[in-house]
Amino acid sequence: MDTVKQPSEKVYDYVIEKIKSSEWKQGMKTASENELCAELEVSRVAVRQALEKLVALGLLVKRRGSGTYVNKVEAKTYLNSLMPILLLEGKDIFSVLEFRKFFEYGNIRMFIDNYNEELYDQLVEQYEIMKASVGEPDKFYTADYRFHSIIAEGTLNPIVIKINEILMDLLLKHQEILHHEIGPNVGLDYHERLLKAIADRDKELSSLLMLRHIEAAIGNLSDTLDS
Amino acid sequence: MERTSSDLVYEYVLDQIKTSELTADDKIQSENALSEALNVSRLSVRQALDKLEALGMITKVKGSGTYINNPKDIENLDAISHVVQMSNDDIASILEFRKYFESGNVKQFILNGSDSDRERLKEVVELMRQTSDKRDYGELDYQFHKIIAEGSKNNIVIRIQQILMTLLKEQQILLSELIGNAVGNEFHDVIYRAIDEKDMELASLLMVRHIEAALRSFKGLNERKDNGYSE
Repeated sequence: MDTVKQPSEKVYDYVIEKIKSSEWKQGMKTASENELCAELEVSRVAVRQALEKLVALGLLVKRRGSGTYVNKVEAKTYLNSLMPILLLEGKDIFSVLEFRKFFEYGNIRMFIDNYNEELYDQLVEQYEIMKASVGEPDKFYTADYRFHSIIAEGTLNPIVIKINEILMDLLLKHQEILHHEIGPNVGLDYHERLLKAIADRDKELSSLLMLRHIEAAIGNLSDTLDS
Repeated sequence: MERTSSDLVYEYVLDQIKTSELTADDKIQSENALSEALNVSRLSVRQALDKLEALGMITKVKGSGTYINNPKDIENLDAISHVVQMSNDDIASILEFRKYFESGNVKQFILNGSDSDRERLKEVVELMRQTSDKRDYGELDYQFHKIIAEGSKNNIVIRIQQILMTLLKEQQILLSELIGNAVGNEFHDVIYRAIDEKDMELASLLMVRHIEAALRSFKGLNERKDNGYSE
């Protein structure tokens, strides 16, 4: 690493400091590109690069024709930084599934804690789509993932929802291997039993079934990859 | 929001990463090649690459090209964690999430943890018993949960733990200062014992109870504050 700060890092650190010290508060307009150039004695390119980075991270927001503003940085925004890391780590599909085992186990329990008729109906709907589209992997898996996402959304927990969003995106991209190796039966069988247990609000049974569901998927996948 | 040409480039590269077409240390197409392939301006390409760089996915190396980062080199976005405004609801959601997350971690620790992981855990538990300094205790508490996540040997688990704990670290230490050692010690001791006996069911159930107790204390503290009692 360079010990000398790049001009754009200088701008980046400067802005972070302003926000940290609350000198620039949420909703306030930041200094203009010109002002930052002059203040820090760096080029416009450097300023623009730093601002671009801060916008990407969700700390600043640009409004066309108006300027750049300080964004509210909530925990949710910060969780966006999970996205690149999980994408790059997620190559190893087994660690994703292994994580999902306990993740989904907890989700279904929270779902039942916050049980909601409307969401239950949506689960049934997705299950019906799955049943009707066994021969169409794209449709089948979209419904399969929707099923799990509805459960995640029903937890009402923003952390769960965010992590689920990233994982599902990742799994969808691996859909072909997963479909080929796991097959549709695991999904259909377990989803049907899950629906019954959820309708009974049986937390213990639902969460155990969910655990078995993901374990069965892992089992099928490692069987075919071994042979 | 309308999709700009730079969004197009951004999603194009991101998709290649998601499908593992591009993996760690791979060189990505040049700016020129991207701009031709997607029929967008170089400026749009550059904007998209800046964004990917900001998110820690790629690194531009002067005179050589742009490379996909190795996940182990991605630093946590510590600078940003200091400007995050954590509401009480956020903290409660994280604790709620950790209830099952950590109960899974402890199972994976029993399955995959090495001797040195167990040794480290034992040391931390012993130090916790000895310390009377609340700040030190909070730091050890943080270490306890970190070692368990690391012993799972699951990169997804380790990363999520890192990010949540970066967010929660100050609160975690504060909380364990406020709740005191009694509650923590009791749980850490018995969790450690269950791990030592390789009792997965018991260890994970105790972990759930431990986080539930923390969540209750946290909610209790806030109610007291809301009712106007001063600390």
